[in-house]
Amino acid sequence: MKQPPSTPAAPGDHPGAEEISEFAEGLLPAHEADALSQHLDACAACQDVRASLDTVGEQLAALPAPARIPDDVAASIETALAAEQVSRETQEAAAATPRNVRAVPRETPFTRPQLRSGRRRVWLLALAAAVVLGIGGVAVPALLSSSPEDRTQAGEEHRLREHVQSLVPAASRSDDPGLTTKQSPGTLADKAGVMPSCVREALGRGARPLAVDPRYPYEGETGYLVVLPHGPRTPDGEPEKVDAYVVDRVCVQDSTKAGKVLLHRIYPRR
Amino acid sequence: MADARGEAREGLRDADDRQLLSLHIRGDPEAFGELVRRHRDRLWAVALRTTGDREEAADAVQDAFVSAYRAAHTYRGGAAVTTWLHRITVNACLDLMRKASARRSTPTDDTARMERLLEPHESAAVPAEQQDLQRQLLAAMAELPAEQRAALVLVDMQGYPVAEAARILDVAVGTVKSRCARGRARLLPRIGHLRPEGAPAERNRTAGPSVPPPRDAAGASGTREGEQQP
Repeated sequence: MKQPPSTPAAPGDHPGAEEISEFAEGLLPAHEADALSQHLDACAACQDVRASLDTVGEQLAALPAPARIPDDVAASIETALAAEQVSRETQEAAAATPRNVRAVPRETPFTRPQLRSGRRRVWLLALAAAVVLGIGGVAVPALLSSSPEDRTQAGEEHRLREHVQSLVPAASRSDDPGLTTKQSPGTLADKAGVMPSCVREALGRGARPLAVDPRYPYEGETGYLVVLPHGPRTPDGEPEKVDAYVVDRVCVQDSTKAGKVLLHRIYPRR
Repeated sequence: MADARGEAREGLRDADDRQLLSLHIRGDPEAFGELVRRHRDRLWAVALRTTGDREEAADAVQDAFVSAYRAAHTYRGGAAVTTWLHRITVNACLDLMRKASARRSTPTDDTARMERLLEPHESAAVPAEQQDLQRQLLAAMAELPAEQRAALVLVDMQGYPVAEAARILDVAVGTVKSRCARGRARLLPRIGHLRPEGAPAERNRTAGPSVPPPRDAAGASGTREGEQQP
């Protein structure tokens, strides 16, 4: 959709609407703006384009504004946040527990793109019901826990480090090294040690991940975060450092695309 | 009112957004709900207009609030809380739209969805000719690259200052202006009948049309390419 670089309009030659629009926004370099301004002075047709561009803006402003947020949408937000609240309180209560089942986050139901909101809300209601009924004491926090999704602030690096270190805390090193043994009943942990094949290919490493986050927000996109042991294991069975990879997750959804490592960092375990 | 937790505590109503956020971080169970009540209508409008789809907008706003709930501790106070919330919401919209555009087969889907946004009650009081124009504009909006659409939603439709739109979109002011300028130029053919006779919408001097024909050239592939631009 790119045009050739714009040049000053020659006499008898009309500038494009896009150029006039950029001129109207003051985006053209001075010499081009001067030339276009002169052309506009003499060309009624282009003056009309210029006026019509203003009309576009006015018409957009005049479109009827959406009403207040619909009740059902507001209610589903309330439900989602109530589930978050439960998750937060449970996590705080579990903070003293050294063997933390949250070492590997699961895909959170309400952030999975495949699920349409209708089903998602049912999920949440089911979760809320489970909480109310006092069942699934371990499973519910494990389902709800997920990465912080901050797509907004600087400090991606810091955020990644914090996230990785929270995923593989040093406290977990007394656990069995293999993920599969780390599962708690009733969670979705069976997915944890399995990377999509395109992610594994992108990494060029077949090692079993210490943790994965299938939906890690990275630079405005969603990446697939994999944490692997860095270097040989130390005698106590756990490495001191980990490799963190953020892989473009487009390959997970589209098998024709190859996986690509967006970021690789080495962090010490905390 | 759909609030499960009813009205906010007295103290929360007096707190400003930043205070609410820090109350939330310190564990206050109601502070975030008050933030939601304050901002959800505006964020809904932005999401609905950006995605052009009720279900997608609902998902985006919910995802955004959940993200903000979790990431509250990363808010650094550089921008207003409302800017931060808008940014998360617009990102959630663009995220969902990218995924949806992979699922959707033709741009006509988008067009039909956008047009449905006008019906039924919102357009009741508007004259027929105006309604037709609005329909055309919404249809054309659906065919714009997502980033141009997001910029036009914030600046032209919602009336936010360009500087605020730039903070929300996390791009330079000039980038917002440029996205708006190019977006308006692409919408221009849709309001052709408002202009006097003989206006030269098609008389561009370059071979590559800066104003693409309404339907064929501005199809799905164009939209997707547009989204890839830096």
